[in-house]
Amino acid sequence: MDRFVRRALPTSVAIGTGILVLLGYLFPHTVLASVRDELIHWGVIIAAFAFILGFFNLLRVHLARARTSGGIYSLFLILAALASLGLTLAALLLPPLRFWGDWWFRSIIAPLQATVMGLVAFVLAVAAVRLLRHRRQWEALVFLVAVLVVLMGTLPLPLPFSGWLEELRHWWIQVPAMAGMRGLLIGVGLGALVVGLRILVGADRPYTD
Amino acid sequence: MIYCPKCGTVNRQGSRFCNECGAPLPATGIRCPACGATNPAGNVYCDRCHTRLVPAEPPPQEERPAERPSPIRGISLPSISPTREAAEIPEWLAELSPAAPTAPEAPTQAEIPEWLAELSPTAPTAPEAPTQAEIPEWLAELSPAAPPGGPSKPEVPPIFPVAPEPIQPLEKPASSAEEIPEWLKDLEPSPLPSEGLSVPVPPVMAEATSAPSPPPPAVVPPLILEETEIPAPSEAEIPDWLREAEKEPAAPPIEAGGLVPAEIPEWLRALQPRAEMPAEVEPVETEGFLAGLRGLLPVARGLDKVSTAGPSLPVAPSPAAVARAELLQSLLSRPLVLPHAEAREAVRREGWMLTRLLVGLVLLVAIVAPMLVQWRLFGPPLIPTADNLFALVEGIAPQTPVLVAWEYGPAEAEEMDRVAGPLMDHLLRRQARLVIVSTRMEGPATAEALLTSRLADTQERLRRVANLGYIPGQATGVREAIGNLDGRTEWGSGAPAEQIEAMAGVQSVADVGMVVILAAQPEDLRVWVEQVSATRPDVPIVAGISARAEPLMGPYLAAGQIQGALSGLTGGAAYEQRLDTGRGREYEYYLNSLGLALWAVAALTVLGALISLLGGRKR
Repeated sequence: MDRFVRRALPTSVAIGTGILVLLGYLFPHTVLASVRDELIHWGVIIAAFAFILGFFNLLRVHLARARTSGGIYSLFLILAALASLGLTLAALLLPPLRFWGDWWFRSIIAPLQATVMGLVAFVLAVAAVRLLRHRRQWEALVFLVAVLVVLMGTLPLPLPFSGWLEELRHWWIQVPAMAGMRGLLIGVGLGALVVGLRILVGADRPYTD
Repeated sequence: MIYCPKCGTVNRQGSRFCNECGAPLPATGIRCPACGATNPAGNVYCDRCHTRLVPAEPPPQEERPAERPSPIRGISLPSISPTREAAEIPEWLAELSPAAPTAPEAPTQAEIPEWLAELSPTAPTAPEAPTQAEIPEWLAELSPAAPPGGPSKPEVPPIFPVAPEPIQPLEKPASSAEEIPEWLKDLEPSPLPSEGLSVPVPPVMAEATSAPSPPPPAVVPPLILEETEIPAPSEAEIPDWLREAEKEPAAPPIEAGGLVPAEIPEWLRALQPRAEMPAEVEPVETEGFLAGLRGLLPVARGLDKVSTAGPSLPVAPSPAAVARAELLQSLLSRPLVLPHAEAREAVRREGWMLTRLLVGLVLLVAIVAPMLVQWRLFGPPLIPTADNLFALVEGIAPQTPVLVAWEYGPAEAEEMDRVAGPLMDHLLRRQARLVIVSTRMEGPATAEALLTSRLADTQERLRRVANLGYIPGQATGVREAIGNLDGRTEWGSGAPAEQIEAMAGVQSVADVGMVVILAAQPEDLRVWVEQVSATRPDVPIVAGISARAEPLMGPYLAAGQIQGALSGLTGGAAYEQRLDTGRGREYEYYLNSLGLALWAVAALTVLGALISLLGGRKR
């Protein structure tokens, strides 16, 4: 019974649902299309509930970590998460409190996220400066040259140098970069196809433990 | 089959222990005294080591053939059982053999073995022959029968060391001398050169044989003579080892009462039946599941005794020894730090800090400097895709619903707001109705923040914009949003989407005139392009993306799936320049800061690479 609940039942549901959605795309019949759309709608609802479960799991993990030494950051995370949840719910339920919800977003969340992104840019800049200091290889040299070319092509050019650098940038993006991106897209497509088929036949069961 | 005496289980023949209860089974086979292997009953030789299991039985006296002659007493010769000899003697040879010996005389004492009784009258060293009870059974079986005629001098079984004796000269059988063929006569041994030649026999040569004494010459078969007769060696032919053995002291005489156990060689002791071994050699287990088994665990004497003596130092350590021990302990407890490694680590730390400080300072100056001095360092780039996008938006009819995928958050807002801003301004200028969805949680709030700055009037915003909020499920959510737009609620007011004026006539993506993708992540761009182009390929798709996602946009742009796009701050600046909404100064500042920072990073990267190439590699 336990094996049936843990393995057989989720696998049957996943395979059956996948086949129904696939049939809805392959045969544009009215009934099949409606079943497909309904299952997709269910999928969105289930994803929303999964997000709620993830939120509470995050709280549980950091509650356990907050009791240990050095758990002050987990405590801050729990407080910030609860404050965001409370202010958002208050803004939705009580319109007069909407101001505080917007203020929380504009004054706390947005600056913090922008700062973290700026730190990422700073770290990348430092890493670029010290690139050849740790990896003196021809691959690193090629990578460094590519970074410089794309960088100089992306940034606004001073007017005296905008001619040949712009042509070099355009060639670089249209030929090597696009070739690499096409290869990546083909690989992503094939990978998605294979993963979908494996889940459809039950070879991969990411929904079971 | 062997029945277990404890539980009655039937066990396989030859089993030593019961398969059911583990009890030792009675031995039904013959246990080899040499290797301990159990042999089936009836085996004469051990299957494993080929040791003889059954002592050689002498043939009956009346049927006993002539004993094998032993010209040199005590020397081991190939043993052939008498019955086998008789069977192997060909018929023609049997005819040549002398008549069977006469039966020996009856023993005078019933308790004395026959062979020993015959020896007793003339044995000078054995005044009293051992009785039958004093001689072990296995030894009695090994004891040879007395020759028919009886020895002429005292005999001892040759299995024991005997004193050197003079070699008995071989006598030619007189009765059959004429019947021996010529070829056999040639094989006859020559008479010994001297009768008194004495060949000492070492004790080690006194191997157990069934020929204790030389038989009468008349009963020696010629064929046996051929095998056993050894001419007496001359003095020069005697090997050294034999001479040394001759010098060894003679074996002690056999005392009254029989054999001397101490003189039995080791190999002969091994042949003794195990029943005669002392019981204490192999103790019997008395406890546990091994109870009743013998000889499983070796005896460790003294282990069961508890020593009462406690550990004690012979002498107290001297103060000098204590001081040395404390010094050693302090040295061992001190962390091992190599001076060169410590210095190298300090230099590395200083270099790392210096690099970070330098980069941070340069970036700070590059970002803040355009605020202080309002220079125009960089002109807006020429981006053809932005021109295509501008033309597409310009062709939208008023009140056309436009689906906007708002796929960026506050982290990317500083860049993406500069991209999405002019595009939204242009759409609002064209009186388009904006239907906004997002698969990122921060997307609706970010959109609301930007649109609030463009449409301050709430009523006007509700007429022009429908923010349908966050749709979970990523790719599934995109598919859901494309097919079900009117079933949602407005993010700000919570009103149903179908009651919002901006959503009039819009149920799915098929009802919109354009799809605008505002994506900071390449993955979001890919999902939206693939889902929308697969569902409604007739709906034009345009994109405003970050500089990071620009490489991924190339294939879609070249394939025509994206018909117009602008990327990054430079694209936004180019679009703003075309649109001219009055925010040019803002873009000029951003362009200067971005341009200076990027140029500074490029210069630092080149500088760092040159320093690394010209300098030594840091390990």
